Amino acid sequence: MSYFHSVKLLDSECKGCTHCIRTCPTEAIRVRNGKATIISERCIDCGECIRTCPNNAKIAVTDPLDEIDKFKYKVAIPAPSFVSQFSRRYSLEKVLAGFLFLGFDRVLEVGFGADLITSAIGEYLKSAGAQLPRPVISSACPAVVRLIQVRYPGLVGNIIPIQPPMEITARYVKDAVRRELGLPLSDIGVFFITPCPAKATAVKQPVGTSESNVNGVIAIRDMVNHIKMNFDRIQTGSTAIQSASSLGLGWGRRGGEIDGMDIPNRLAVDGIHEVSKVLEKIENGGFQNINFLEAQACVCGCVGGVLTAENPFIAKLKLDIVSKESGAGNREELEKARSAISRDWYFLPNKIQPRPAISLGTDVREAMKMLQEIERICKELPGIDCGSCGCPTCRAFAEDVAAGLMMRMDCLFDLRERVRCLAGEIFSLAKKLPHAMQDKGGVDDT
Amino acid sequence: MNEANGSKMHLEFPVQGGNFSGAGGASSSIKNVLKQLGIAYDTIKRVAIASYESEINIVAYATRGELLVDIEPGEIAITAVDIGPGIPDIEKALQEGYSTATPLIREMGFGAGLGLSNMQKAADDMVIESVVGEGTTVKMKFRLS
Repeated sequence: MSYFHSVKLLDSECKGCTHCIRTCPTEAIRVRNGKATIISERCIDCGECIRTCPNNAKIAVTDPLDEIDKFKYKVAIPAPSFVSQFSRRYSLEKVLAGFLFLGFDRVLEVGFGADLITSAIGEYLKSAGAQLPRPVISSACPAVVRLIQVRYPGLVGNIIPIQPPMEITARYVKDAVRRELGLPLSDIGVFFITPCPAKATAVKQPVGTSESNVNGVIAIRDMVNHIKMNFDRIQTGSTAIQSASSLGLGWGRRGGEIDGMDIPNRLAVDGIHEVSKVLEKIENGGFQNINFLEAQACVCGCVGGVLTAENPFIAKLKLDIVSKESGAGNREELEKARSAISRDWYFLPNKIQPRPAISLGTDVREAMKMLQEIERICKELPGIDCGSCGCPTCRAFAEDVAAGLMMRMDCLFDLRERVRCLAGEIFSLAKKLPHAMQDKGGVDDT
Repeated sequence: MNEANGSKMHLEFPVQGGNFSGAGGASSSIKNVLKQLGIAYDTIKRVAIASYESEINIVAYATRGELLVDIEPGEIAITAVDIGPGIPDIEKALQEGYSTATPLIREMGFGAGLGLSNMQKAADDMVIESVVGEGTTVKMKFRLS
């Protein structure tokens, strides 16, 4: 199967510097012929490489704003982290009205759906909780879901089979517009305003379901720019805007998801490398006393996404303030939605499958042979993970050599050693003159 | 040292006693190898639990030790060998909740008395040999389906 990726490499900007290869949590990047390349099966679109690249050669592809013109009726569903991107100067009423100014017909914050999902998770854990493997892991962060598929495939069964808030929000609003205005679904375009590339990928190629309810994805920072530039011209007072509750907005930062749950022993972890460490421990049988794990790829949660505009810590602070002010939200609307949504909408229709991207092959004997070769090569390497060969670690290099993708001599240390041997040989040969010749002192023996 | 011949594989991972912060490294490497071999996930899970608990036992109680991994197409064997105090009463040590952990070990979040019993539950077969004052060897076998 081929994988869609929002994260792309701009060849023209890449200097082949190897910064990105070591921050990638799935070792998905190699530098070959002076340019980074991404191994598609392994990439989880977390955006760590975008964060790290000093040359801006890594980008996240999202839709431009004019993509909305393809639809008769346009709906913006901004992520909970969206409102965290504006300072006090910008009233949030006007910020959300900005979507209407820019051509959208309706705005519904994804926090609205997050509120609904929180109750759905609570109910699911209450009914099925006892049979579930511990800890149950949130499905909300698509980068973490993919990290589990690629690196911790044995834990896919721990992921709660519930749709992320973006999906339930999109499906609800589409259905509401269809009923209220009598429009066919194909005329309604729902656009998610995303903090990260992983969610863009989750729309183009969702996990656990065949098709997303979202029609397009626009980066938060693009929308922030559009809205700030036009801020003075934005009119307020429209009823086509539905903002989220405190609980729903909280999902935009670490801890927000578990804040609203009423089960004991729940834990929130943020930052993809910290998440990896926790998943590693869970594989070892740890964290069994934790009932629910919220795991977010970005530091501080979605407010730290690579497609946001504000510093993650400031954004988190801002979101805390805003969500406190939002209170219980529009309970009437929420109850209306709750009764309009059928229970099966909350669930992922398909099982989440592992992505065996690190397996050496389907035949154990063949894989063992290859692994033996890897172990043998590994022993000869310096083990300092210098990255000069373009692989993230010496072990990754050994794997690539065993797979025939690299040559042993691509290791600089190996090459240097061979050059040294060769130089020694040349030196000793240079001293060996034919007997008929007299040494003119060209090569010093000392 | 990792040795290889034909369809068998032998791997060795040293474990340093008292090194709580580094604990888990050996079991991580073992897990990675098994994932690369395409071993079934539920087997990997069992091996992971057993090797991690073994590693923790060496770190918590022994001076030093190592995890030996032998992989054949039909079976994985994990042998945890250590130089340490040994186990005076193996039967008692296998009881859930029985622990000789020091306050320091408990402070590090270990010593609940579940290690050996978890290992026994995870493995298809487990044999413990121990000499007090010398050390302990735990041999565990996992059948591959």
